[in-house]
Amino acid sequence: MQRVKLCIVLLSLTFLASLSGMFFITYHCNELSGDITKARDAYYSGDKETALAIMETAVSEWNRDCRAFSCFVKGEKLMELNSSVSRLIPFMESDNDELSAEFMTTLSHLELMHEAEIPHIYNIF
Amino acid sequence: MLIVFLRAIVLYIFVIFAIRLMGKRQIGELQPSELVVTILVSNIATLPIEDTSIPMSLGILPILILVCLDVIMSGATLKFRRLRSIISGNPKIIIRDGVLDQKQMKILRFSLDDIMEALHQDGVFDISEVQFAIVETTGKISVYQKPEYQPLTNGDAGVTKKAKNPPAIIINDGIVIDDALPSVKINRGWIDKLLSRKGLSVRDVFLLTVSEDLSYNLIKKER
Repeated sequence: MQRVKLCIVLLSLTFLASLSGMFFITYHCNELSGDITKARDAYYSGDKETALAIMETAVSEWNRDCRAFSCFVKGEKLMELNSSVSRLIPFMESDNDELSAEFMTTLSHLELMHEAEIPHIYNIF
Repeated sequence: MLIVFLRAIVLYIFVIFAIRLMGKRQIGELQPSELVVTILVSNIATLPIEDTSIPMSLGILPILILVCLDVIMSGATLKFRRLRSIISGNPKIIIRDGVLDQKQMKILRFSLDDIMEALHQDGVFDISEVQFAIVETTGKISVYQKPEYQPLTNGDAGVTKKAKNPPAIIINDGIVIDDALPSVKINRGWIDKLLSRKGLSVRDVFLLTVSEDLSYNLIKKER
């Protein structure tokens, strides 16, 4: 029965680890989404400097957290999000026409990543 | 490539730990759930090795969860007979007093060839010699022959033999197994005397087994 007790402990730990992974990703996705939304709003209301400052802070925080994300999220999804996030600042600086689309793309990547972590009937079955 | 190399080592160690956690069974004795878990573990373990974009946690976590669930389930089936019956099923008698239960054969989807093969493996070539043949929960068929066809034993012949422990391995590939010495009531001195009579050292010995009556079998290492 020692083995059974050990397995109950291990199962509890894996459950806690899975929960923490879920909270970690949802928290950081929400944080980055919030920053991107603020930057977008600031940019389209004419305050480009504030928008760039917000984006630079957000991108540097994302670069710091990206490695931790790789423990929980597949590489392809991370790469897509990374490339999307990395285009935002240059597009803002050059007032690129595709900036609006890029904002939406990045936000939808974050939303998908966030949704993929939360268990629903449709992603369990 | 280095990532693949390192992941393979980590997963190898982890899978060994997981299989050890599951406990000792041979492949042919695994319950259906244990067989399923073993196959799943081997498949899941290859995923992070083959595809480095998959995080290790997506390999390790499912393996750990499956193994833990299996151990907990086997613990629960020990306590609750009904659960054991649901998960593993019950042994079924397929031959009773030399007569095949054809209805049971159909339920179990066993052909006559399957049954005859199992009987042949137990040295039985005539169904009429079989008292019981039982299909175990692992799918193995256990055969119990009628008394008149069972091999003669010492008990049947009225022969009494003194209980004897098997020989203990004392030296294994040049290393003395100290834990085995008390079982045959010898010590290092006895080994040294024996080896010096033979002009050998411990490192020259591949295998030394000693019985309770101090008879021994010594195999030298081949150079």
